[in-house]
Amino acid sequence: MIDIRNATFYYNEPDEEDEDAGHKPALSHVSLNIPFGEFVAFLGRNGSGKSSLSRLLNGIELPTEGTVLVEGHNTSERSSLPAIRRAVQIVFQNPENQQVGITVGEDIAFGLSNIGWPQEEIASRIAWAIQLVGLEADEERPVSNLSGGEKQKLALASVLALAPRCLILDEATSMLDPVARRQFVETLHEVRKQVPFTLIYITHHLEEVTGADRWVLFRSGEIIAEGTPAKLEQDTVLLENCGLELPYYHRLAGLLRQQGISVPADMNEQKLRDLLCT
Amino acid sequence: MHIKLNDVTFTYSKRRRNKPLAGPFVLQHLGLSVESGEMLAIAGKSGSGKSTFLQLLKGFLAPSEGTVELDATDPHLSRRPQVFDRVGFIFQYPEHQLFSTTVFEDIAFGLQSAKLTAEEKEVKVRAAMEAVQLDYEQFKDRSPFELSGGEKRRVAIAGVVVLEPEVLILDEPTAGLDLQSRTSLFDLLHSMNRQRGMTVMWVSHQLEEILEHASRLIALKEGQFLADGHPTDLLSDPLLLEAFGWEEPPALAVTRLLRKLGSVPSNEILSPQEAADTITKLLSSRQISV
Repeated sequence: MIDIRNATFYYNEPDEEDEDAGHKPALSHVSLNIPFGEFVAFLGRNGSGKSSLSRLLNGIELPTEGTVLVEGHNTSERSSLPAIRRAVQIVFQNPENQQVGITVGEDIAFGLSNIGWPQEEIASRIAWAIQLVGLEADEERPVSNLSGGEKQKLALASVLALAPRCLILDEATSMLDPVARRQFVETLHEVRKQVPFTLIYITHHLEEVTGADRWVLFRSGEIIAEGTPAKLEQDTVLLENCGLELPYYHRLAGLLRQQGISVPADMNEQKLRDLLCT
Repeated sequence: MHIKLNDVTFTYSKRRRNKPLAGPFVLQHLGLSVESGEMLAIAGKSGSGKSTFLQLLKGFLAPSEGTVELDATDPHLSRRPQVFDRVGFIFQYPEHQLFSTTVFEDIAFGLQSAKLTAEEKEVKVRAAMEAVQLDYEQFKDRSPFELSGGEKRRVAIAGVVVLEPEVLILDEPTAGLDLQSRTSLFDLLHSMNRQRGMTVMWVSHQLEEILEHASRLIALKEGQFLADGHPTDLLSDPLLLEAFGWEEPPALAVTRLLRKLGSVPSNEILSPQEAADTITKLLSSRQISV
């Protein structure tokens, strides 16, 4: 569904006369293929290129070199952009930056009207989206009355209403408290059971993406590793280089395995108790 | 600086003459005393009143009832708002507020009203950059906008540190930062705390971070302090955890479990490595005895 071929991207194109002016590309020769329905995590330090790549995927930015194809459409072709922007939706870290309506209903309706959703079906689509993300609010409720977690669920509802083929969450949970964060992640996975879409999840917190199909690790604008969480988890040095830390129980389980002690993959307090008390 | 809150209540509704204070109340009857040099974390859901509470300490807001005292002075009552200048305030995502063309100009902005000579200004900016571990010569002339996320945040913090606050308040300072940037930000806060005796108060949603760095935790719920104490005690208190819907940080749970089985010194929290060593020892001693 997404095919990135040897993409290089500069926010400011390097000066032709002054090649080595110190401008480094935000992305350098990146190639990546993501089939429809996959859950992929983009991981890496601040400034490593994760967000830049996600901006290339819906044509907010265009590659300086190379190509980005979304369902066969080239993002560099102007005529493809409406289809691409509809297919790829992004939720950012601060929900308030992407809320436009006064009420919950208006906010969801905005995107739908924009893409020419049939007027008579908008109301039912709003109700569908509210229910889908489990937002306990009717459509008349003012957006300003929502909590942080509810606002982020609304942002999710607003983009899911547009039936995206690919959803990008760019640190979408970083402003939420632990409870709201857990609920948001649970909601997301509930939704994925009902509506299929490709999920690209950008985060600094590995515990949110232990269930991903694939981790893609970025460093200095390059993809330096990709693979299943089970495989990459073992390379703690690599992860640390990418600014990542495994959750406590994962680190503990890895260390115990090194000592030849067999431990369950999904270790928790109860399983540790079982291990020690049998 | 000693901070004291006496029975502070806050509402955004206007007070009507001869009428009792009308709600909704964002904060209710808060009492608090914070000594110089504390590392104090504040936790609670969005909407629990954390930001309002912090803004009272900086004087952006005044209490509707009760008083806020800084070193035994109520700056509102005594009409000495300049006392609030001794409190530094760093908003969420402070790097969004950078605006100057160079790092030097951005950091020096807050010094404008102080009528300093160019030399004096340079000394102060240099010291602030040193405090946030940004090399003066390397960074002073660069545009803040071409720096990495962690560096930008350092510039923003330097812009507050340059005013030499006695108390530093930060609203979710590690949100959106990677592991290395989070670690070095806390190294920085600890060193300013130790060297200058600066009080650090910060809002955090990360219980692990609180456990690792705070000497005191205040938990706010619906405008009231539900708990105030040492993070190790509060974050293993089942009633409190339930009230906030929190999960006990794994480091605490594992340490408690291993302590029950022996050989873990009290007041120590085990890292994964230390826990793994303890578990390995426990299991191998059993095999021998079997």
